Amino acid sequence: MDTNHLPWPGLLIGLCLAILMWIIPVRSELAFWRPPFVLLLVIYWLLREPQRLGIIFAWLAGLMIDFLFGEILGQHALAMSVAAYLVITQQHRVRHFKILHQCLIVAVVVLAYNVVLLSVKLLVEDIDIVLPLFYSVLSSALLWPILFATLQKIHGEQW
Amino acid sequence: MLVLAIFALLLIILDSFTSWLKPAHNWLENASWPFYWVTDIPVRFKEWSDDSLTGRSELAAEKERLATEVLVYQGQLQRMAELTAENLRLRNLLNATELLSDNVLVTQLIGVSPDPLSHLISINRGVDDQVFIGQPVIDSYGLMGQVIEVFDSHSRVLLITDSRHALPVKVARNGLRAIAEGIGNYHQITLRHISPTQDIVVGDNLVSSGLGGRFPEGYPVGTVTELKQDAGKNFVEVIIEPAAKVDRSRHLLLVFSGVIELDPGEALSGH
Repeated sequence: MDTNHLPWPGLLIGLCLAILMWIIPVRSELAFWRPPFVLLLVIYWLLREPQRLGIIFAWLAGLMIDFLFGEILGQHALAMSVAAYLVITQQHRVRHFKILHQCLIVAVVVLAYNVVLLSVKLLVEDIDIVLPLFYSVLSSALLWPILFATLQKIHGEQW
Repeated sequence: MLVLAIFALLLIILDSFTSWLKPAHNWLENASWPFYWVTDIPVRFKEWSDDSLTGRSELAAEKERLATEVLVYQGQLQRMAELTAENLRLRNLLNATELLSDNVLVTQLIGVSPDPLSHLISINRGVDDQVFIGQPVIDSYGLMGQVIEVFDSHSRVLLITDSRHALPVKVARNGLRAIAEGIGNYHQITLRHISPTQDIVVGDNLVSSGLGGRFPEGYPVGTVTELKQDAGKNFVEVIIEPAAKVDRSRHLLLVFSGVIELDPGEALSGH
């Protein structure tokens, strides 16, 4: 595996920015709409560099969130690795999809991610499963084209 | 994939059911401080501009308003001192042993949990300021929550609206005791196990009861806004609106409780 040509500085700065976007305080009514920025960034990089970045990358990104802000260690790592597995196995197809089609895929991945996170939460506490918990699926799908275009512009189009 | 997933699951199980990973938590979460510092910049900028970019006349008007406010509060405090002394004397007659007096430390909110399901906030005081686990946090309207994790220079507070939080309360009107539980909604908490025959009505104010020893007695918790009585259920559902502006307040107070000795004369002169 040749990782020499990965734009590590850009990638890490991106990750830090994604974390900032994720923790910046918003009104409590809007909090449910906040997309999981770190996951979206990880999806982008997995699609872009499937040969060099893999599930380990996603897992580490998830673990980093857990360490910094998580209440239960490992929950984001698990959710990230499940999401990354979905992306990695389908990346050959997804890379060539039209952007709208990609949005759908992103929605599915974010949904899986949310479901894993909620399942872990249900292990230790009693929560009501209500619709707002899945608002971020919709917002992620809507945000994806903008995020995708921005990242392609920054890092150069590659496929 | 499988190995990583299993390892993550292992971590989850270890962390949820044992406290073995607590030291790692405490050590690593100190690293989240810079992130909070950065996300706090816009607010700090706004406060700075509020302070330094307002006109002289506005400042003068505000000073006027604050001076009046202080005057009113001082007037009320005078009565407070007398009431405290009287309270102490009466307690003496009842052979009660002690009275708690509270000191506060001003703190600021620096971060909100990104997970909308957990009502956790971070504040800018930590071990350096003698913050301890279980310490009550209030805002200017009422009880907000309690400290659950303390790091070097920040700590994490579990709000009373979080679904993992419960606190002992009493109805201010008649002293009826109950447990107030969060339900994961910033504008509502509920009371557990209130039977239909108990004396509680819409509009009742609830204060912390001091039972359980964690929260000091007498801080406002909320107001009853709704009673839902279902004939098929044993208990009434009591909806309470928290007194504190749980999702709005930025300037908070950490409460340090201390015991004051029973000496009415000193209490009167001391205040």
